[in-house]
Amino acid sequence: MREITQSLHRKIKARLFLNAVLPAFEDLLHYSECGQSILSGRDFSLRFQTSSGLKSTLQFNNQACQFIKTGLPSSNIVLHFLTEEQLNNEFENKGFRIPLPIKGASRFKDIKVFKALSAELETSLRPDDTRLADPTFHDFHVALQLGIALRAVIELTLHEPRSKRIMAETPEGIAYFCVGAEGYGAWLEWRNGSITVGKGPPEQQPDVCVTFADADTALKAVGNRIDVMAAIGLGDIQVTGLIPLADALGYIFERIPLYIQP
Amino acid sequence: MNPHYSESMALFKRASAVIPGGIYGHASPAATVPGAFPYFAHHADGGRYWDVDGNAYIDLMCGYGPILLGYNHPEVNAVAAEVQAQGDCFNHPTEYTVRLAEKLTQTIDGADWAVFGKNGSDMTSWSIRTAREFTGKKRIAKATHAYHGIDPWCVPGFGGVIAEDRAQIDGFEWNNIESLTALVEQQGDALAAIMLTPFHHPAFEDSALPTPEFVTAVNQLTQHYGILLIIDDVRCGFRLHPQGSHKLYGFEPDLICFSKALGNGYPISACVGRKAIKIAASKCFLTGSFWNAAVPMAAALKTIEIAERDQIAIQLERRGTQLVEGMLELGLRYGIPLQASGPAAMPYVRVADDHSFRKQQALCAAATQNGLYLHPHHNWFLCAAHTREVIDEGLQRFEVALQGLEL
Repeated sequence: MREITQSLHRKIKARLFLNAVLPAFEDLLHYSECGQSILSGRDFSLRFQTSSGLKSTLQFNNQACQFIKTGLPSSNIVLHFLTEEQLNNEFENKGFRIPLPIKGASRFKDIKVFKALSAELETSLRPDDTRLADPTFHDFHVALQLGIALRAVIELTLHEPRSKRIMAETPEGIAYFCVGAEGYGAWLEWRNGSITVGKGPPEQQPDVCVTFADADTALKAVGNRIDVMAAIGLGDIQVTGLIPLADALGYIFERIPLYIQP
Repeated sequence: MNPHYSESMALFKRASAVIPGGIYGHASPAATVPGAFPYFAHHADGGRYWDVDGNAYIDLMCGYGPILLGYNHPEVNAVAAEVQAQGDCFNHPTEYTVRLAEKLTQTIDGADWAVFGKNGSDMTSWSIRTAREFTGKKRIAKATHAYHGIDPWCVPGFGGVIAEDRAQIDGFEWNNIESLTALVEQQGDALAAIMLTPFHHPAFEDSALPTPEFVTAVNQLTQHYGILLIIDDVRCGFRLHPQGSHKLYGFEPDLICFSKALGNGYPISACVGRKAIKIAASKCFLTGSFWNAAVPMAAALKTIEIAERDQIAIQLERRGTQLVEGMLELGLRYGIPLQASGPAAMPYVRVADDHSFRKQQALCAAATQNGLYLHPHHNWFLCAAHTREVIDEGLQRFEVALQGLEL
């Protein structure tokens, strides 16, 4: 449900691309041999920024990627988008989207590598059935999608009015989300007006545990493509503990597709 | 799958194919502990019900409140059947509407007139419209986390609710005089009404009785600023005091909403009010195809009569005290400290120091599977059919649950 201006919608979307999707390159380089092969030892940093002041940086170094939620002054390549719409078009591969390469325009090889990594990330997020049948890739795909969703929740609670209102009335605590007994797991902590996330089980006992029967259920739930209440009743999603916290976070997960479709 | 509930689950699978959520609202499995509680009822009698798997329960939810005298009460059902034989839903109301309105104005302290609906939400939402009409002001104040129904201005949850639905709704902290005073001083000229439950009974929290100071503050502030006081007695009505729960605590309301126990399970709600508001009330359109139905009106008349005759409120307080004291003692005995809140007729007992409710969920699931239906997150309800013997049996079942529990 949209209750914000188009301008704010574009800005939130841009934040999601910059701060929820871009960090997925860290996972790509960590888990994907193909990604590492594409990077092939190149070291460079790439900053995305908009005229309105949004900035995020990817630093490729030692066959790994580090996401930095700000503008690294020493970035080798700086892609400047005049508007959020332009940045969003770039990520969605549509419409007018050519950024201004205000730095590093001559670093053709690095730019080419980044484009190849982007293509690999895209196919990892939207794989065909053949690729998904590989259990190792399947786990990687799920981790990518859920990682984006978790980071997107943070951005929405910080910047979307509706999500902010929802969380303002939500009890504090730690929510642990996991797929099956030993599958992907991540936690979110809602405390003092902000959300932090981490991979795997939290150090403290969580206040609520949400367990998805399988990855398909998890992806459908965070993508607002499943009747969650029915799934809970059927046992496909188990929620134990502080239900209002899981409720609120679940609702915010379901708002992600209003902005992006990873 | 819990073998206790195979029929419930089979029915739920069918339901989830054709009903959003499978089961929606407060009865959703998600509201308790899915798989550990029954999903569908089959029949009931007295203070018990049976689920579709044939499991029997001493029922400490009473249909979430409507069952005041007991399921299948012979006197109420006899009257209902007699009236049903004449017909229920007509083009017009019947004499039962008039008789019930007269009865409520005679029974409820401060009631000079009455209107009727089907559910509590019908009346709480209508009452704020009436308050706006009477005062000419827009804003409505309610205690944060209080439940007043499912209309957009107050519905819990987030789906389909927009900021504009809540733009004229203010919140204050229950029992917090400073919070209320600050709100009223800031918005007093714009506040049409303050809506309160007689005691605070939010889900996932302890219940809280009003302090005498809070009651005094509410009465004084509303009267000083010309704000109507609406008591939402939907959940508590007829359980705590025969003349309205406000009488027990000292509130001086202008409008009072009832439902749940009013008809002992027959669907009916009511709003009563002071004489001065009657003309404004008459201007606020309210109607529903089933709102004048005769059977629930007749059932309500009989329910009120029995509640007075048998001094139900006193009975429930005694049985509730027996229950709560017994549970607390058993909790101590088995090393699981419990805490109780709310009035004895509508107690809420839960595991102490359990922020996540995980222990409470395990306890209530164990009790339910031992034949004592306890909701982990919501206040409970006693009814007149919960005799001393039934409560004793309930405590025995509770003890069995505690014995088998590892928290």
